[in-house]
Amino acid sequence: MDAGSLSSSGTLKTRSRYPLQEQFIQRKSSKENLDRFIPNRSAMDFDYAHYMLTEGNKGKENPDVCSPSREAYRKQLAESLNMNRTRILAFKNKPPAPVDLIPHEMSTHTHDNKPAKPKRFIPQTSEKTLDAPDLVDDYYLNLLDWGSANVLAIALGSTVYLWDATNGSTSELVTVDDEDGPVTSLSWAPDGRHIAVGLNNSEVQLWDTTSNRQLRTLRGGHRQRVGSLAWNNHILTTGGMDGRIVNNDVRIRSHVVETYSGHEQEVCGLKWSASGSQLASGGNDNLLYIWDRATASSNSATQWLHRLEDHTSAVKALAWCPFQGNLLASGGGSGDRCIKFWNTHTGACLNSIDTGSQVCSLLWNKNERELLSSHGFTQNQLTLWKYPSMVKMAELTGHTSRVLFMAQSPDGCTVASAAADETLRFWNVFGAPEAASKAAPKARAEPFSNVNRIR
Amino acid sequence: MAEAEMEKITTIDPETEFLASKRKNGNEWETFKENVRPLKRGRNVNLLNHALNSHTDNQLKKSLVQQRSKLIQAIQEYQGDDPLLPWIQCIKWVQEAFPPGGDSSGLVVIYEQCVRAFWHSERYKDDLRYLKVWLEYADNCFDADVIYAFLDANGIGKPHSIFYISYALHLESKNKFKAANQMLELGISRNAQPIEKLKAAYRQFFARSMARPIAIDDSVEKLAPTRSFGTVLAKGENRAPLSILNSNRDPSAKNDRTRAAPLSIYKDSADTGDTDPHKPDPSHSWHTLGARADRNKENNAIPGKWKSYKVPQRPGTRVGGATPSAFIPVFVDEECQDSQSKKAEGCKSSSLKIRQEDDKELKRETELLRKNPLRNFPQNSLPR
Repeated sequence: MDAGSLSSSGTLKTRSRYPLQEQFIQRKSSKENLDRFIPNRSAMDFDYAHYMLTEGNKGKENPDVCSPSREAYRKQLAESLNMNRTRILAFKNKPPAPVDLIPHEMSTHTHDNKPAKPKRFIPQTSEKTLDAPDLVDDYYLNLLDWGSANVLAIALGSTVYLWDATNGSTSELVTVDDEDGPVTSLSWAPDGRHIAVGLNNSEVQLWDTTSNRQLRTLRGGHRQRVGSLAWNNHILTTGGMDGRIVNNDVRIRSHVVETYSGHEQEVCGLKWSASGSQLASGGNDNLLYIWDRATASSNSATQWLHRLEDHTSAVKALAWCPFQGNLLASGGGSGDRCIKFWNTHTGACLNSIDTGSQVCSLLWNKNERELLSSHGFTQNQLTLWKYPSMVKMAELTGHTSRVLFMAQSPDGCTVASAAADETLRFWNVFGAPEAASKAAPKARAEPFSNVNRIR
Repeated sequence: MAEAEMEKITTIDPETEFLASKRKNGNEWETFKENVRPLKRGRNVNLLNHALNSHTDNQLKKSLVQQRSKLIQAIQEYQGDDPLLPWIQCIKWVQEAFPPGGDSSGLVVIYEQCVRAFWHSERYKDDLRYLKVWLEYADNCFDADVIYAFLDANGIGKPHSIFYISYALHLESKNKFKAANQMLELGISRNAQPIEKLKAAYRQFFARSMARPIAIDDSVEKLAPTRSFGTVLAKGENRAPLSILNSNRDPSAKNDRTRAAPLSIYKDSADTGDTDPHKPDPSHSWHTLGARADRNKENNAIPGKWKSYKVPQRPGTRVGGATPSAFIPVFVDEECQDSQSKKAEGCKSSSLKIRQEDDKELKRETELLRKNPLRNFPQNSLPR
């Protein structure tokens, strides 16, 4: 009877202890998260049931041995406490972990970025300045081009001069009559051997520069001066002051194969895309047209693929992106002053940057994601932009008049600029990465050469 | 002379009638709008259309050049009371008649000759027209600092607020904000007219300076690594204007910035007295600064011969460049004959050389004036 009463009192004591713990646990769970209350309850009930059963059995079987029973009690208590703690810890650990992980990742990324992209030195002054007397100060012409054979062609008045950049020799290609002249546009053929010369009398002459011989004269395509030319393999596209764009096949006698009509005023910017499937034309009517070679031939309501009216001034500066086929950069004149980026498939304007002055010419860097623009009135500077953030990387000054024309060397490292101050300047604005690391540019050159081979 | 003029008039009239028959008046402006340099006072549309016709008409271009030479002769033959007047008329006409405003117009040379003719004259020191010619001359030159310092040293344009506003704007464009602030305060202390315009410019300058600190930090960080040479020059140039101005004004400028409110400062008579003995000092510093800048820039800027420069291409890209050079067969016209083109080349190249020489002289003079605006002043030479 006494033993029974003792055992009953022990069980009562243990029972009284457990409810207190239950209350504490419930309070904690309620404070933290009410949704987690139910699983905690089920877990605790099972545990208490097991402990009570084991304690009862041991008490009945071994009443004499008190120390082992006490030890068993302690063990059970410890286990229960530990189990409770583990559950509590499990719930608490989850939220802080992801918070800690994010800043570590960010810090590692920032550390990796800085050494990977060191800023290269861009010389602020021109490498060389050459004399270009009698260069026509006219925004709408295109009087400078650098061929793939490393020969620079420039028109000074009515004369076309060829400067071989490899050895520095200069020769005079042609001097036209005062009635036919002056020369209004120049463009090298992709083979680097033939050059097209547009004249003020609406004619286009084709010359073979290896033998300094005129091969033919393209007549009948235009009624006024031809201010812009663009080659697409054997197709020479001419843009005139009458607003017409004519595709000429230089291999056959009847050279006019197609005519694009849309511009109302002079066509001053003309560029074929790298793939040769799309043509971009900018005019003095503040319009930018995208012509698709396949679409233009089909019978549709409009001949053009896209007609873009966002520019508020003449559009002359055009440049197709070398690393993204359907991206076109265009620059507006003194009334617009913006550089705009277009998706030529959808016709959407992706970005627009106000440069603060007349945009005369645009060039993409073939190695880095950069864009070089030449400007006119008031500052006459060349600006290098980082694409796509459009942050100014450098402003090259030195020209004292509008920087009307720019040409890029075949290797893409040197840029020649001709301005109304009658000087021709060479800028090493793209050349730094190859000079900095010799191994890297070789690796870079190979894939680009592959791309050229595909072309 | 009269007969020649009559002949020219008769030749021009049918051409203008011919052009008018095809096009309406005002079409040339729309056709050549990108070749027009904007002027502050605007342009006369009739004169502009007439000038833009020179793009298509060679004879009209020649007549413009002859008209310019006539106006220059009128300057030399002037016998009236105001010798500055024909200069002003010539400058305005050239600005209208040569819309691109390039070197071929000779405008910079005319500016230089005009300012050189009267800089020593007491009569025109306070003349607003003469000051405006100086300011336009400064806009076309690289080192406008030299011109403004010269004007300040010689007391030209002192009573006019336009001088202080232009000088402050120029200093601000070169990030010399303290010097710009001092210049505006100097103008206010001298009670330059119109004073309301100067005070309004000062308030605008202050508003801009309030929004500046963030921009300054950004610009410094971005430009510092790529323009170390430029910053060195800027530091050097900062010393000259500080030495010219009194050191007492520096703490007043700091106080103004801290209080963030425009503060008019009363200048003691002693300070005004101090400025007078400073006049000879800037002339000395002016000479030294000009000499150094000229030497460096002349070496860099003078265009060299074409044969002296080479741009060899990288070997890697040559391989790439060679592949697209597939030969394009071109149909040859039967009409093309080699001998005719060769003979034509021989004849015309000689005539072009003559033209080039004339243009070269004018262009070189313009270049030298841009680099050294006051090149001819120490000699006190007379107008040509």
